Amino acid sequence: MSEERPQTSSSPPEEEFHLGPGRPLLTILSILAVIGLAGLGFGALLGAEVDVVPFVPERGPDRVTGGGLGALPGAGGTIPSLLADLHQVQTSPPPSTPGSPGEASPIGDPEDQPGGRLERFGPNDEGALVVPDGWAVVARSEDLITLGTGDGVRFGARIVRATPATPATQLVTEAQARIVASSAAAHVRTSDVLPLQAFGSLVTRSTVGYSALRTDAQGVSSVGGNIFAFVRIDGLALVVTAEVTPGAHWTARTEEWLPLWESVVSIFAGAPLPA
Amino acid sequence: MANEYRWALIVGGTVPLLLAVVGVLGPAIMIAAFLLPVTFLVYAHDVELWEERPALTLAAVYLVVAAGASLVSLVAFRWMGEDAFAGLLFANAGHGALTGSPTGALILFGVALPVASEIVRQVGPVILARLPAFDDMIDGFTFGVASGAAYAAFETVVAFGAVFTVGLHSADAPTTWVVVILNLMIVKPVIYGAATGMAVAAFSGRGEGYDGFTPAYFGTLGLAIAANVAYWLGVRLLAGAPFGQALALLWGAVIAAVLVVRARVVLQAALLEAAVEDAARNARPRWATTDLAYCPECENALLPDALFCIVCGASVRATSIAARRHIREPAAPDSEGER
Repeated sequence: MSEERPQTSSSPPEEEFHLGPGRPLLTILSILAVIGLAGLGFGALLGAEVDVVPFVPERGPDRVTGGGLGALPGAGGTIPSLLADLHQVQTSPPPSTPGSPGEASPIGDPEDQPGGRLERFGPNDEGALVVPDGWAVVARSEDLITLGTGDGVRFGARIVRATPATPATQLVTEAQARIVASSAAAHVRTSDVLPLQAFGSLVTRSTVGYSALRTDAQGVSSVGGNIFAFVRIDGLALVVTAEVTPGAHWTARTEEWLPLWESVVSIFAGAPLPA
Repeated sequence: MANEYRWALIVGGTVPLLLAVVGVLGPAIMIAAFLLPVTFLVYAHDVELWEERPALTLAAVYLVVAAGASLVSLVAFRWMGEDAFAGLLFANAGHGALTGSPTGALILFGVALPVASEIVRQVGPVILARLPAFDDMIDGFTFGVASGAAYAAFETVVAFGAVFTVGLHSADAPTTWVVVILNLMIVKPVIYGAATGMAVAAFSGRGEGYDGFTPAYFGTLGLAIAANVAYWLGVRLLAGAPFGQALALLWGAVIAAVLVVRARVVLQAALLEAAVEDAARNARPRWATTDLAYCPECENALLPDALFCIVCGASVRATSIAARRHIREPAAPDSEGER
């Protein structure tokens, strides 16, 4: 068929731009290489490793830890009475069969409690915390409550059924696997799991610190946080997560979530935090 | 020519996946984000889209889209919605899943952002499509595709900017990142490009001039917005489920496939309109065949003055300058071999 091939009937069109055979591939790959190098440069310029150190609120001598809810901003002298009310129902002695809905609301109207608003959570309202000004409940489901400040600090608390023999380190490890799960987070850095001294009606408690890039198809978020687990003598457990975005701000913003942490732990343990 | 672009997509698409596996996330995200826009840019040059003024035209489209995409994404992911988005991911990470997701954030990122971004993607192409030089349906369609693909790239750079702040190497969760990068590299730009392309094609319409803001345009724009909302709302709702990332990828692939089928119908109509218009004007397009030549796609003979291959339907206009030159000026038998 070669003799049937057409002869050129006119000169090739004037072409202001043409890549020629084999050139599109090289052109595209060259441009992508430059773009990839730009990404490498951004990483080199902006990259920073974050040390992950778990935050242990009552560990340092300079922490104000002398009484759990008493440390709440604006608590004044009225928070201890709220704590005393809670003690009567929840921890004196600790309920052997916690969670009956009928025994869950000894405090009356949850609105306008001193130091903030009291919110209950858990399948049978076994957990409670005082929400200070500046915080809002952003989501809740059967066993948990999630709160946020709207500017990068989040706090979650979940009630879990366990046994008094369940080590808190196990709950922390399980929660860590879920909260910074490999299926939804990357660049995960965690501290060692630290067992902490129990107090009040707690039999065991533990914590771990983490930082991660949490991602899905829509975007990515750099986070730093702590997971705490507390197991009570009646077998009920509380798992708490405090988290800050971006993760590099974690240490600087501890004071913002600490009042929530102190209230939920004190109420759950039925006793002030140890000094 | 097609092989050139196929290889570019295969090689260019494999690199970010490999980089993600070894944990070099920054370059992986950047290459994944720009693979389709860059390929489309080179293709636009190659096939002389937009009245042989591709560089200037494409630069205009990309500049408008880059500005719009960066602004909207910075507002959504940084200036106003950073905490809301982090809260969604926090909820998905075992702190709420579906029932515990913050409703406001879900509406913001699953509904409001897709609606706003589709509207922003329309601006540049619609302005260009009103110009007499670009009022053909094929121009509107390709402007829309370019706008969608470019928007996807710039949105990705902003939304995934945090990967640049954690150092160069991260060997964690390669599977997660492979799935995410497949979404960013293929599914998102295809959905954005096809949806926006169809809507702007409806703005251009057939016949003389452009149709403008007709009910047909608003109907197609509504479909484009619905596709975007369906995609992102699905991603958001699936994100907290087991295998949520992979399910979101599949969900996006289904929507992309539906849009591509519709977009191909629009593209065919647009190419036919351009060909018929050329024939009616008795004009000889510079891409028309001049004598016996062969389709660069299926290698069957093209009829004289053909604008399409009657066997495989490939548009002669949609072939590269190099391939067209081959059609018009075949290589000598000794260098090409016998057919």
